[in-house]
Amino acid sequence: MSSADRVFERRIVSKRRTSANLEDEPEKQCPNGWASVVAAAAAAASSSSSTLRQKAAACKTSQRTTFQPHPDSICDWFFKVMVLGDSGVGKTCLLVRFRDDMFLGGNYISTVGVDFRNKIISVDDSKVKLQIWDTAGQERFRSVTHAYYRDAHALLLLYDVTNKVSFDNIRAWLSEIRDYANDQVVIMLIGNKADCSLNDRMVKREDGEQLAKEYSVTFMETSAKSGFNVEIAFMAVARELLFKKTGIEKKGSFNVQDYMKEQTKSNCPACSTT
Amino acid sequence: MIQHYSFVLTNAESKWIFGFCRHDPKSETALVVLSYLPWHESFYKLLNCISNLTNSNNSKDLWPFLESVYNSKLPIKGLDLKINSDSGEELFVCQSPIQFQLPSIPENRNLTEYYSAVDCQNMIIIFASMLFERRIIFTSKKLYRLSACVQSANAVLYPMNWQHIFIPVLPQSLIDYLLAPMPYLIGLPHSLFQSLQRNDLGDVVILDADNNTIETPFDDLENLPTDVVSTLRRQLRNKGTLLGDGVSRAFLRALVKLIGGYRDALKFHQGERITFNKEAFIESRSANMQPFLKKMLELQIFQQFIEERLEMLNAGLGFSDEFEMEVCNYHEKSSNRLKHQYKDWTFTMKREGTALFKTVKNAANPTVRNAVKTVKERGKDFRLAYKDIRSKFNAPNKNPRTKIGTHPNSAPNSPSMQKRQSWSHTTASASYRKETANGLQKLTTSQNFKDSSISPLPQINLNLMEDLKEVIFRTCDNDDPRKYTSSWDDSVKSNFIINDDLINSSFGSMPSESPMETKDLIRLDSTSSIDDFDPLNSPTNSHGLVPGVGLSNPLYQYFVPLNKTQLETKNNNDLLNEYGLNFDLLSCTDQPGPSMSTSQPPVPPLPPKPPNFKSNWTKFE
Repeated sequence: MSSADRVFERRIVSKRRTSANLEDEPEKQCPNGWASVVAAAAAAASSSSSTLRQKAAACKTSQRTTFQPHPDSICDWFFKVMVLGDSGVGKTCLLVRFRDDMFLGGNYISTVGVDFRNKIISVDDSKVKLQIWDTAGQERFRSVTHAYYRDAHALLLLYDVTNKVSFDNIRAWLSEIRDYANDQVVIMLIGNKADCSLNDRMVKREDGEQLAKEYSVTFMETSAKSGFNVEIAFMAVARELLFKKTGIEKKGSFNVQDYMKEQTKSNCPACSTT
Repeated sequence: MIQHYSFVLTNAESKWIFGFCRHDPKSETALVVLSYLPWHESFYKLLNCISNLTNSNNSKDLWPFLESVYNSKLPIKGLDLKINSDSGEELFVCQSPIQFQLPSIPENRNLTEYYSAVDCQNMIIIFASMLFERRIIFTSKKLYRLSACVQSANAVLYPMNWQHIFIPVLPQSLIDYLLAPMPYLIGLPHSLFQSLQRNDLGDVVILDADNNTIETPFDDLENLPTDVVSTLRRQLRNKGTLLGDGVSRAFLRALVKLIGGYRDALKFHQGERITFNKEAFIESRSANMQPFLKKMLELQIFQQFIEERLEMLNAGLGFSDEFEMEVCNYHEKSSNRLKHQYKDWTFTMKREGTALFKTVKNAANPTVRNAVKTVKERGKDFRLAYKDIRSKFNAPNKNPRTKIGTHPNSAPNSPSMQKRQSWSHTTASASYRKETANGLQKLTTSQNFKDSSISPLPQINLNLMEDLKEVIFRTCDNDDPRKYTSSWDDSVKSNFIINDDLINSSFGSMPSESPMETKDLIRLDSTSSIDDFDPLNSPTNSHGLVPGVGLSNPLYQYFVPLNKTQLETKNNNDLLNEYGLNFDLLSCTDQPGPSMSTSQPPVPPLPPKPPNFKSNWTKFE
């Protein structure tokens, strides 16, 4: 029996724990688990016979095994994130990069049209688990309707900066989403494949920024291939989710844009990697 | 007991591939056929055949058999697929399903199983949950029941299609997928269901198909319009219609009431794509329907349905399927009451005779005047809409094929002048002629192009002026209407020959008023009446324009309209068949077999070519 079905035995603590509890749990648990996942993924990647699918499965399993001994310590918060965007914009790669910190090239064909990844992020003093969902064939939707994302806590709208159509589709979806999404939903616009050469780029960074501004959502360019901004993007989502959940009790306000500006300062600008 | 069940794989384009399984409990292996064709019955039959071959003495036949199945062309719908052995012995024969046929009991195993396992009330709750796109879990100890129920729950949504995660049988290794935040319909084997931590699932609808119980945290049933639900419930409980497609049709009728009005909200402007106007859609429906429809607009399933219809319209492809036919039936029925009142009314009018005409003439009766006016304007709008459509269809068509029945825009002896001088009301007759043509005309797309800015009028078989003619003409002897009709009757005749032929050949004897009057109805409006816009005759069809239909549909499009050369060899009946209309089946005559078998010229292999034929069709592993 695989460990896959054990997910339901795990208690996911979705309410904020007391500070006393926090002290009990060693805070470095998450980084530890994280490191071992990377190691396991690397091991899986090196085995020549394994397919992409198997690699992914191996990662998943290893992660679970890592966290299994302390089911209650997994996270303080659990959020479901949905990635939206046409096929080929790099949704899966972004997920894989984010979770395993490595880039998987090639085609990833799903058998049931849907897939997800888990990742636990430490934000300040709490652990946030992001479960990131990806479905196939979204490009067939001219607009993504409310029913599709009503149970998600955050939406990542992904387009490919080398593909104008993917950008235009996002624009159409955004208006629909703005009409129906409740205020609690965190929305982020992401222009992926920012590592492309200038010749290949079809959507200017300014266009993305403009669109994001128009709909008052956060914007970021990433590259799943080089890893550029990926971690920061998810971190920003986690932070904003946390802020929306706990905003009332926390003083001050958290501004994602400011946070991102701060974080991206040290990073290389887009398009410098080839 | 040998189990037949199916699973579904969803590929990267979100298209479904069916895995048909046959499992003998005595055996440790199951036979599986993968195909994009949703033909459960055919493939279960095929699996039995394969099993026989595997177990029989002449198992050497197996591989050649599989090979010839793999390589055989897709038979045209309704015709047989036959596989013979080398020695000429018939090994396997099955009929390819007729397009647009609703699943019927007991022929359709899935629906039969669903209906017997789950009672009407629960079927309706599932129906409602699916319309509201919930996260839905079916569970059963038996795989065949599980997959049959999941498949049928989707099938009764026709003409819509479940757009989300669809896993009729969920394997253990994918159990985490039940956590998905988006809508899903998943069949979960009971053994796995027991091990679930229900708290983690969130709000889900759960149907236990073995015990016929349902759990739902939602009030979806209550949120459906009550009259729709009560009618549906009554029809499903009517044991008399249980056999055949009664169950499917009951659901279809419910959907017609809910979404059939989409046609009134289609907008069309010259040179632009036809669009769907959400606001007009809501406003055109009755008040008790509106809350539900507002929600409906937020649903992917409805959105994709509209997209698909628009795509077909914009591609210039006429379409008539069971759904559109039911829409027409429904309009017919709901207008019956009105027609009745109208009959009484005209009767009184006729009796009052001269007095009435005076009233009309003096415009002292605003009701009548308004009626005439509205109808007249409506007629105009029809014409305008038609013009747009016509130009649209003509524009991309470089080489318009002149067919019998296509009306030249400026006909010689155009009766328009006379008409306008004489009876302004005549346009009214023309615009309503469509309704008189036994539903055939209604199935053409022209019906759809009403400008939604017009307040929707009840669609009824009324011809105000025609019915009152007698009264009116009695008073104006110098204006014999016969004059008008006869003067341009000839020019009209040729234009409509095809339509009349069409109707006559399909219906045998068509109940009609005096022929003179019929012509009258058709032709009073001369300038390319919309009536001769008929998708069956539309030149675009002859170019084998295949729209991108199916893009929004998880099912592969296994029906592809025939190409030009084949179309030209067809007669009207075949054309009708092409669009899923078979009046032989509809009429009361018990002629065996649709006209396809009788009137179709033996066109050698007619296979519509599915994309990537070999790689997609069947695969044996």
